[in-house]
Amino acid sequence: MTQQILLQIDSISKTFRPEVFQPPVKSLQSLTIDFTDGECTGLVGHNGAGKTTTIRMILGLISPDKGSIKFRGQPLSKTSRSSIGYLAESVKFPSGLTCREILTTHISLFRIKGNKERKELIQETLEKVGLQAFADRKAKSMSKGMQQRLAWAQATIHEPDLLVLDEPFSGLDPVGRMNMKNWILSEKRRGLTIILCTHELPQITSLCDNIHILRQGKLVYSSSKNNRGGTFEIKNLPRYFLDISGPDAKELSQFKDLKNLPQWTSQHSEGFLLRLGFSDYHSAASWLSPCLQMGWVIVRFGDDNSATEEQLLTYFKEEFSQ
Amino acid sequence: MIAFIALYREAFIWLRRDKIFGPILMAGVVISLFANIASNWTIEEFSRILFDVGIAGFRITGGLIAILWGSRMIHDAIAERSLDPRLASPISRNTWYLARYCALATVLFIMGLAYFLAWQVIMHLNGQGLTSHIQNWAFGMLFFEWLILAALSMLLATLSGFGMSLFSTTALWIIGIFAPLVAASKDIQLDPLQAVVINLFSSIWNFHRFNILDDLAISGQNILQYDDLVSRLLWIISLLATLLVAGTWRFTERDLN
Repeated sequence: MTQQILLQIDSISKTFRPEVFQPPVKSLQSLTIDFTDGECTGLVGHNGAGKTTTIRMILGLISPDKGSIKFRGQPLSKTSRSSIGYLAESVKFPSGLTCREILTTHISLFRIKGNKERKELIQETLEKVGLQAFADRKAKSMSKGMQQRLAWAQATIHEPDLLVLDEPFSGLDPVGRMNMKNWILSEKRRGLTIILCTHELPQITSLCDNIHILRQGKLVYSSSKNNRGGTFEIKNLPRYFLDISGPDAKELSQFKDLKNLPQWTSQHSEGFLLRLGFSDYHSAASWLSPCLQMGWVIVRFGDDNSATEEQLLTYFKEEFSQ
Repeated sequence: MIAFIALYREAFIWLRRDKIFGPILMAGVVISLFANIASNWTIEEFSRILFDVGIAGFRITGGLIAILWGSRMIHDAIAERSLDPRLASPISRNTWYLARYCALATVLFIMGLAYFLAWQVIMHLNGQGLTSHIQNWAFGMLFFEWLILAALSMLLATLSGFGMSLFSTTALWIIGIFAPLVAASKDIQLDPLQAVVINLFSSIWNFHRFNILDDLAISGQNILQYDDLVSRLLWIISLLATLLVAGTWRFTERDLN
């Protein structure tokens, strides 16, 4: 069975002019992404990569200069927004309003009819996020974790088809993170389409079915989890590792040139060890014999499909440092 | 309509529970009391001083709070991003903007009513009875000035930041008060360009039109002509409509980044 595309971003571009006399900044450049129905997709990138601009365009808060965004094949409209739930990066609620008042306003915007039905729905949602005892407390006076619970309630109370989460783990303590992760997982199990924008690599690897990496407003890599071990397949991602004890980085670089050995994809030191990462087996294996001839100790050699997080981290470190 | 009422209610609660609501409500009443004391100190006509000081206090307190809240309502929602979940729902931005304006107008009306009632008490305690029909209209017209300033500050807040909106609206308010005086003055010599600008302001941005008691005192009349009142009300309505249409248009068009 082929899965349907729920949200289609087609060649969107956006240029901002931050100040009158400053040059314009290209925030997005011909970005094209499809979001499949029922899947969780991670949007990853350094600060200023264009993730939040993309999200705000999906929500209709920013208009693209070029390109289009379609929801179920139709251009974004008020109707499509009724099927979208949104959790903002830094949750801020209007001051002076209680949890119940905030949720009452929110569901009234989604045309949920009947006063009784609305009250029941609010009570049910507050219980679900564990805020029933704080229903009449002012949101601004609550802790960050409790505000995040309220934000989650607000994002999901109208049972959306698409959930847009912008840095949902930001500023949360370990318990808050665990709660957030469980909520996302439970919505994912219900078949909700989720767009997750985060820097938290463990969450990306465990929650997302697809990832899209943005850099300077462009899509640089996309990947879906493969069937084998549930890891992401990213071009040039280091998958085979060689841990060498003996040389330092400079010595190793000179040795590579001298022996004409393949270039590594990643390199970093851990104590007295140098870890070289390679995207293919043959490149990694060709280093073994020359290293042993030099008397260097090969502490570890092998593939590392399970260490997706570490691989991504290595990859991102190099990507983001550019 | 449900969405509009919900947003209106939310903005109204926000304003009502705002920290400055109570103090500003008290400030208006205190100014009325001060007007009462000042009029007792003077040797001139009691009610003239009472109205001069009291109306100035009513005008300035309400005008400043209308500008402050109008600017904050837009700026805070954008800066804190508390409007994002609202605008990401199936409502138009016009609905959000107009609901906020109506909530602000309601809170200003409550404040105006509180000042007006305090005024009645002062009048009564000084043996002046209750305010006359024309004096009631005078308070009503000044309330419209608050509404114009609120609409202007909201419009300017959609175009710029909080500080700029606050400064620009206050500056335009002062221009609206002084431009007609300059235009009418025979002592001030203006070059042709200055004269055009001043005359333009005094014809379409003449804040003296809100103070009917002042006009009546100058003209020596004690009854407001029906035609004059209608003309002033039509001017206020068209000004208000222009500012609200411009504000909603600008708010709908702008990127909320």
